[in-house]
Amino acid sequence: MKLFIKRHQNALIQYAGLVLVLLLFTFMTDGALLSDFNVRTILKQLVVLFTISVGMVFVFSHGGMDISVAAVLALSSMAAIYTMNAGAPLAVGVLVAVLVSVACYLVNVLIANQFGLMAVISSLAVMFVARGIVTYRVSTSASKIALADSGALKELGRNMPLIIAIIVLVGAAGFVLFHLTKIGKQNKAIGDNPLAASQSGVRVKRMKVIAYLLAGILVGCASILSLSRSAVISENTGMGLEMDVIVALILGGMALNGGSRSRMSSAFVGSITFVVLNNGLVMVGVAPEVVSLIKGMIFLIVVFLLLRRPNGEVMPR
Amino acid sequence: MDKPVFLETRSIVKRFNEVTAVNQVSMKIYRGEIRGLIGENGSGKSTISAMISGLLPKTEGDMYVEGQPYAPKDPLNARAKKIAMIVQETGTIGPLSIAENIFLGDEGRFARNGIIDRKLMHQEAKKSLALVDFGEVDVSQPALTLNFEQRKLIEIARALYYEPELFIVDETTTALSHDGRLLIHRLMRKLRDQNKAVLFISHDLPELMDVCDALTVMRDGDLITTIDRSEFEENFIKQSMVGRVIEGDYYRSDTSASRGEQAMIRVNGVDTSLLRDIHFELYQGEILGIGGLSGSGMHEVGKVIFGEIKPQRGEVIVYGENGDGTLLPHKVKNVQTAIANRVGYVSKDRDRETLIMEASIKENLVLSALGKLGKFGLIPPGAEKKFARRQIGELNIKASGMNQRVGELSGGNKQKVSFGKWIGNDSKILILDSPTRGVDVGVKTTMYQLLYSLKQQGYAILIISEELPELIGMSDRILVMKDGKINKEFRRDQNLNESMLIDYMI
Repeated sequence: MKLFIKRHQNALIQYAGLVLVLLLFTFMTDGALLSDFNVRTILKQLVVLFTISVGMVFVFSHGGMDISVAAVLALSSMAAIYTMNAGAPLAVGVLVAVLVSVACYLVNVLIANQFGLMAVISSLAVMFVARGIVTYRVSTSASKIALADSGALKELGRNMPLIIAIIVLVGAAGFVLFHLTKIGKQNKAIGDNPLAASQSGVRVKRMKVIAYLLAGILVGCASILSLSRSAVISENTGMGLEMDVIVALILGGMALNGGSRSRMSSAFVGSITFVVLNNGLVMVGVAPEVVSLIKGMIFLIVVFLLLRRPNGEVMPR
Repeated sequence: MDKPVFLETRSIVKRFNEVTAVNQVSMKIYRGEIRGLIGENGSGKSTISAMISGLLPKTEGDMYVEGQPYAPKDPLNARAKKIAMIVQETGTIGPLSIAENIFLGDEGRFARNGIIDRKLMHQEAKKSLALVDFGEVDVSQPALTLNFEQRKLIEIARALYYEPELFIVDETTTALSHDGRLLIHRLMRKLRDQNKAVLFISHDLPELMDVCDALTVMRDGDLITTIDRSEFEENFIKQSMVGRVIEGDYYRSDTSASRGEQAMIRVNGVDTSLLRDIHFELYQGEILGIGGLSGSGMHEVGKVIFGEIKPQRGEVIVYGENGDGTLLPHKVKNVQTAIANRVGYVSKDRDRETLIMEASIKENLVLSALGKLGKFGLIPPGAEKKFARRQIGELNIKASGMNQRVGELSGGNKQKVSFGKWIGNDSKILILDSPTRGVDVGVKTTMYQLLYSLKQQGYAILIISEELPELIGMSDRILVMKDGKINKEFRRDQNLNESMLIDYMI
């Protein structure tokens, strides 16, 4: 029993955190947290964060780190709006959003691969460029950049069974790709030891590109899901999302250096915990000015619990 | 014995959770003596030295330095008592300069009003390097500009600078070339002659017997016996180490060379930055040994065959199976073509290049075989488990289960995992760089038996090794390398001995 706890310490903390957050806020809101209306709100927020988190698990698992999500999401949304305003159907809009996002992520990984740059730095560059394009367009266009006909998308945003289906589908695809194929296993190996991975026949650079490709596709999809909630973009669209994703993954027990301890379940557990936490804090009437502070403190506690080593001593050799 | 005791341990015990690594060990270390400490992996010899040098706190028992109670909290405490240790792994920090590495943690001695006097520091660094005959070097250079052996020397210089009364050398020599070893031996003897105490920990029994004045044998955390130099006897010491009788000769017993007809690898005139015009063949059912000094380029040969280093000129041809059992020649272009043609490679730096310490035994074993385990791109967990279970069983890997982290295993079991990774992957050509490095006698025996049985099953095996007895004992043919060229070829022969090989190495 003791050994079981020790071995699965991280998994236990991640689930315990989720249960704790759920129980605490259900209790503090007299059950209003789980009311029909609020669950819908939670699901709408969840579908975006979860879709992105699944993509990021692939990137994080090989030791990568990305902070361009929010900017890429805004850029993809903008591209989708222009496409659909020009008369293209929703499907084409989705395709364009995905293409833009994939292009951003490919640029990101190619810079990192080619110049041996830390992934987080190349994503910083991509972030500024993408955000820059959006800010420029928003400030130079006379009217708001919004969908002219948002009917179909609004419908999508309201369709709860569809949203649940998307969550299940993305989760299942992510799980299979990460845990049952070469893609996940080799990315984890790269995260632990790129040299040993390459001596075992892993094409390190190619695998990283595949991870970023998957992340790009999912972020593109997420941009459409986020558009379905508000059909407008501004220079602030998505602001802060890149940090939300990182926090969610850590709440879900993801190892930030990647490697063999990475799990897809981190995306699921973490994004639910994060969204419920966010939503719950607002519901119990915590002033918006201090929400960030409280989130920060909770985050610190979780990081402390996850990073603490169970054994202080390691046997020599 | 009339020599003065420098350090004494009385019934010291070290426990890691439930595991007792050192059990009630009482030993005396004398001045003017080189004491050897030998034992298999996990016998507790490194734990003892870690406790003496302040790296690990003891669980029970007492230690005394020259009669005074001694309980170091960290290595700086130990240094204050004039006890210094050199560890097996690299203990230098690459980006820091050579001088900064030497005085790491003690920069304060050069402080002038809170600012470090670099000139003085560099001067002193040069002085300490002179202790190890390092030669001319710019001490403001970062340590990573040096090679592995030179960095080891930096550590030794650092230890010697503080004029230790007890000098502990932990497994350092396994990483060094012949010259480096001789230097350390010379230093240890010099310290002994200055009436200092030396504790020398190693796997290498012949080396210990050569250098030490007395040998303490450990097994499973217990001190078995201490033997004086006059009573050294190789087989007796080996028996005390493993607790059972070991045949004096643990290499293969046949004395004539044998091999199959089919060449599995042809190296055709390969040049790299270190190699010059390398030509040779490796045949089915053959064990081919490559020996030389560590700078001779022999380690590069393995990497070239495995496709990790691209030759500037020439090519490596590997004969891979063609589905219907016929062998076809393929040019090795990269690691992937090598693996696809069933070449497996175990690096000299196994822990950093071949294995993933953080991952489980299972994950390590299956990594190179993922492509073969999958169906339609999906890898069923059951197939992975079956694969791992078979290798763990066949190679007799001792572990708590297939999900145990490889980093927690002993050196011998780690090496078995790195073998299993390729054997399980159906590799028929194994390139093993220093296959028994850091592995103790008991496991060596099993390794040699395993290699011989693989040879009999038709595997083509290339052993690159700095241990000449091993090459002579196991190989059908030996290539001796010098300055990037193959200098001489020997066939398996009873009369072959080390000095014949050394003549062509130096």
